[in-house]
Amino acid sequence: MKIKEEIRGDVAVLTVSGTLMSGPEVGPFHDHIKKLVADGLSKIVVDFSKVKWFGSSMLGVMTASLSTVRNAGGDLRLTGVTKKIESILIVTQLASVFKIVETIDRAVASYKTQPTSEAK
Amino acid sequence: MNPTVLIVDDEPDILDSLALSLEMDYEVLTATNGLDGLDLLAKHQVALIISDQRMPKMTGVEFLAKAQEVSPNSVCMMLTGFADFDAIIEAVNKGQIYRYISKPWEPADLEIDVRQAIERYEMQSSLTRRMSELQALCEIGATITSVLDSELVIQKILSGIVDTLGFDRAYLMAVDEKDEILRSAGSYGVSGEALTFLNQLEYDLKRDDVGVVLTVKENRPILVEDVDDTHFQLDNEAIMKVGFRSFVTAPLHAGNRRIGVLVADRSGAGERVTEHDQNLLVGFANQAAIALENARLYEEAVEKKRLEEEVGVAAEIQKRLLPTTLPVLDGYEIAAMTRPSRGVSGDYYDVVDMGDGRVWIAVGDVSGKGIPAALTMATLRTLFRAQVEHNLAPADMMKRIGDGLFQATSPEVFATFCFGLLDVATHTFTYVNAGHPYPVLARASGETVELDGVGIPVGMDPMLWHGPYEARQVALASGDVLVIFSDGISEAGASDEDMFGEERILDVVANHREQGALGVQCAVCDAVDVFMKGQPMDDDLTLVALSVK
Repeated sequence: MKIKEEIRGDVAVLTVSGTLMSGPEVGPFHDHIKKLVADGLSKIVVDFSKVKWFGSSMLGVMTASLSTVRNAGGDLRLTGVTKKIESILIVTQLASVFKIVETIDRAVASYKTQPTSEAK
Repeated sequence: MNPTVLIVDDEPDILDSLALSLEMDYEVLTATNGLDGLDLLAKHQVALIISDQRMPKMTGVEFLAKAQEVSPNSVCMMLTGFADFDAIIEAVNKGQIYRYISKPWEPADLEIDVRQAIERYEMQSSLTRRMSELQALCEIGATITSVLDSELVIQKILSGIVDTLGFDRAYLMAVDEKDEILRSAGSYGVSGEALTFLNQLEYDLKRDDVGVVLTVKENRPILVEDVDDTHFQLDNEAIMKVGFRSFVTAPLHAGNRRIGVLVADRSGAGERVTEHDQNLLVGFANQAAIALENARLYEEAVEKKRLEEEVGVAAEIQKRLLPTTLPVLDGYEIAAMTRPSRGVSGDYYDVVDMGDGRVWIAVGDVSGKGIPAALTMATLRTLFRAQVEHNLAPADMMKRIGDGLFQATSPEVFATFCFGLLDVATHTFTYVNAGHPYPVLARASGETVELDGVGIPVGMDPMLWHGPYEARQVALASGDVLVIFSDGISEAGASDEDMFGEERILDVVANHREQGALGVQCAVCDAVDVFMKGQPMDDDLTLVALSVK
């Protein structure tokens, strides 16, 4: 997996790409998030526009990352989500747990109007 | 030391005259007869033998024939008078004599002949030495590549460098690509403090200031004839502690893989390594690298086989965690199947007959694949079966299973899970769903229903979603078929553009509804097989069907 990182103020924008199908490939994602949190960055935007599909391992890594950033007072918001990925989130009932935003800019801006998530 | 010349002549005057001419430039040995000559040959390394032909008891030709047996590398020259020509020609033709010196000789000619004879000797010796080195290389090459144990190979390589190639000490450092370090892997001929120091020596591969690291990274040998007079950057502490004076390094590479580096030294006073030594070590290193790579690949193959066998055993154990028989119920039929994609599976299903007309049916799918998922599957089963014993509402059961799984696994691990309670007396099915694909219900009336639910998969951090799970209930009537399946079925072929999908499942179930639970199960499996066209599945398939008679 490749993670391209861009910091905009106090928001980290991560663009992921790669096959994202199995354990060894997706592990680095959560490690990356943990390092960002350790460096004081807990507001994350993850852009999936370069990814068509991912496996359950990636989903687990994303929810674990979400819990890591929320515990640090931040959030993890998704952009560039394809229909297929959205369907995974819907079937697993996680679509309401993650905030999905249309574009990266809007996702970054959403942290101003809604700095933290409201846990339901 | 000057080369040695042996002169054999029964006439003392000739002997003295020749000796005088030669003793400035060479070590001269003299004998008055063949037997004494042979005696001296046995005790000294002689480059050139000059012999008279006409001698009592043993002629020159006879002597030289015997001399060649004792010292085959010595070059022979014969002193002749006019009458000896036949004998000389015979000896020359037999290849025993390099040249003849006719009496009386011109001192200038003699000097040239002797010098050329000595050169010839030195050339032949050098050739012979190289031949035996090549042979030694071949032999240790054969030895080390015939051994498949890594530790043993390293020892044979290092002892080969010292015992066969003639260096004083040998040392091997191996690359650890994961930690990016060059680490000590063995030595020979080293003892005491030097050994202790060498054993713990490691270098970061990012360094550019240490000879052995450069050898590995640049794939070229380094020759340090004298540590006090070299332009190479060396680790001075190592030089001092191990007592390196003159050494050579050779890289160990197999294809693209960097294996490590060999170091061989000459530590005796005044001894130095030469470029010839470097060539020798490099030649050997090529074989050594192959031997090391062979041993490593063999060990990997053995390990792989062992793991495959373990997975086989794990699969057998896991089979026993699934129901071996399904309950026979009045008015209902239950069928179930699971097909792991890789020996062991992350899918779980269960049918628990409480004995009082209530039967639990469950299907779960652990994230990931293979052995890790299979282990979590076992945990999920334990948690579910424990909850089944208490008399809690299904929604509460799911919450507790979720908390239990979260605590028992790492945060990235979760399972989608759907279970329900069939009440035979009331013909109802009360179910709860945690992120699992919605089960389908095909009614006798022709209606198809998706049994939806609310709730995230179990095993995720409870702080992400506070719940509650919501249990739902459906009433069952004669002819109805209910199917709970794992996403291995709905997502079959997902990597391509089209996947099997829930629609197809609904269709197949509805079309085969009248065949009952087992019929529907087979129909769905067949449909998936047809859809997949023989391509391997990359997820586990699981299905439980319940039909009302």
